[in-house]
Amino acid sequence: MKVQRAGLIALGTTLVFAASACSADTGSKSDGPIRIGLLNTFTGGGAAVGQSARNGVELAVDELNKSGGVNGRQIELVREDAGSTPATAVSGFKRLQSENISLLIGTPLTSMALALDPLIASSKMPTFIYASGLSAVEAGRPWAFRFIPDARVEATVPIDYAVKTLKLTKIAILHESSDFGNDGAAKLTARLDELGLKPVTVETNSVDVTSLQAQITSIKSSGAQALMVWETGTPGPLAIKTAFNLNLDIPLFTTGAGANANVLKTLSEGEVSSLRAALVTNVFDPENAKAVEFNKNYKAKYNITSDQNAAAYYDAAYLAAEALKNAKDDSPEAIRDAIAAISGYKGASNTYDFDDDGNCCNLASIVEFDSDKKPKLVQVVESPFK
Amino acid sequence: MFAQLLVGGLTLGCVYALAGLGFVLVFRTLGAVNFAQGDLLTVGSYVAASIGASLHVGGFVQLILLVPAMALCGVLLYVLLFRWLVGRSFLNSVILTAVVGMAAQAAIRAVYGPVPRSVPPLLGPTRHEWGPITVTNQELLVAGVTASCVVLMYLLLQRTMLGRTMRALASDFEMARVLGVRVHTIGAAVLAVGTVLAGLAGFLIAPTLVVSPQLGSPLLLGVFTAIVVGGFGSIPGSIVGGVVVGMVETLAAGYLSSAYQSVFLFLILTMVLLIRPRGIFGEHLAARF
Repeated sequence: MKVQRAGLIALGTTLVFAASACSADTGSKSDGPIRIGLLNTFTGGGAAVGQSARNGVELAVDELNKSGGVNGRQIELVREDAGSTPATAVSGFKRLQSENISLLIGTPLTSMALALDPLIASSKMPTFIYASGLSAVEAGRPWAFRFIPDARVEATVPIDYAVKTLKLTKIAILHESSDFGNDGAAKLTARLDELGLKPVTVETNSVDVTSLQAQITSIKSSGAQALMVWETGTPGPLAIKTAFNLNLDIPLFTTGAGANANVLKTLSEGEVSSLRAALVTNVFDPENAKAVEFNKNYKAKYNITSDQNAAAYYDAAYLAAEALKNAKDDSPEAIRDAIAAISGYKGASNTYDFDDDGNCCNLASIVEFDSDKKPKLVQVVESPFK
Repeated sequence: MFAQLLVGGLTLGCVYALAGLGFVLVFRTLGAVNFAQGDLLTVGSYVAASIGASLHVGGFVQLILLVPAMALCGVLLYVLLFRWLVGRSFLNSVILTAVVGMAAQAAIRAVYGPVPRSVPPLLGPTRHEWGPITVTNQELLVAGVTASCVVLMYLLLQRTMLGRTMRALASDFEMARVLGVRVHTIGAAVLAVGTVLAGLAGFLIAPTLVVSPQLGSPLLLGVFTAIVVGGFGSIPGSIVGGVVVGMVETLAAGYLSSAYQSVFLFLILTMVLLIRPRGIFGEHLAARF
């Protein structure tokens, strides 16, 4: 009996060690679902962009989970509202911190990205940010990865198109008074300067402005031949409406936020007739097979045309899955290193190749809109910046 | 440019005037400051859009149906809140109506979603080129409806029994009660009129801007400034103040700096409070509070 008992103890001990060894073989990776945070502007002035972002991420997560998840683990999306101010974004980030998320797909505004910067660093949260302002991602911010091209690309593309292709020389700028708007206006002006031009007028507005009559009247009086509209929330469509009402019949260039599908829904056919968008995406290129597939699936799921925001956030979810798949364990450092190692990843919106500063990509495009407000690709631009 | 800015300022001023008229009517009669007026303006925009979308009607049918809908909203507000505020410190009404405003925003967000929407112009997107200025049908409508409302309000207050009773309440609420006036019925009517005016302002301005749940907050600052400029508590003052503030705000943004458009409102408000606190037509603020 004693021999039998000793044998059982030995067997038990062996099984315990074997189990431990098996556990050690998979590093610190666990088997439960992987939690990814999504912090975005679901309410407030940026709600239109936030809804596109959520649509894009949810579509990607559905596809990923249907195809088996990441390394056999399902992805669980944890959403938090960033409102439309940096303060609410900070509160949302803090709530997400307690949700045990592995990484964060973050906010669309430069001001929010800057407000979150110390929290991202101190919590060591690998974070994808959708803020084109240059200051949002730069050396010394190893935890932040921008998944759209920076403000230089956004500014260079429409100015070059207006000046070099349309041969226009009198360019006006209307921008919101925010980090995004101020940075964009500076980049637009700098690019005009490089081309030997100056803006005929630069008009500003607050992000909660309710009337742009004064600004558009000044622009009309300046004799501008094209207008760059650098807005993220409701002032974007308000500018386009006001320009139409005041019969400002010149090409209007907006950004991805202004050409968001939810924003375009608020405009009439006449109001979009002179609208062009400088998009930091390649999602409307019919030769981009991944984009064509994404656009088809997006329309089928949400019954709305896709846009730059939705496509970029869709890609961000796939980039997150790629990083989580390749990370050697579940630690923030391993996930961060796996994101930084992503190279040549062809998504629906862009081709991603993260550099040391966390910048990703350089494809952009000019689009126009038909009477159904569907975007039509005019040209694809490969920017020297990213 | 000057003439065009005047047109824009007049349109904005008419909206301030309409919403301000409702604000002052409630303040004069019930002694309550309604800081939900800006959000009631937003409610008007959304209710009009809902009427148009659900009943497939547009134009003046929408306008006619909006009036009873907003009046009902005003009566409910009176029954649930304002009847308890009568005779109490105005600070109670400031705080509670601000809460009502926030609740209205949340309700709009819950019912309609947070994404902005647009309301088609009542008379179509026609623009008129008159010399150096461009005027839309909607802007003409804003001016026309505002003028009509001012005339109707005058007739209501001066020529009808209901109006005389409202003025009696404004003069001495307790005395009116003692004399047998059904003060709560009249109070509900006052709030119904005030809410209808806010709703009309929202309905009229909606096609010229982008409607979102938080639309009323920045507009309330303009409405409040207009009331102070016109003279807090003065009905003609709210109309004149609205037009003056709308024009000054737009002209200053056009000629001085568009970056500080909302700052100009604060400047106007501060200067009036410092230099002429009773405004153009009003009583001295200190006397009322």
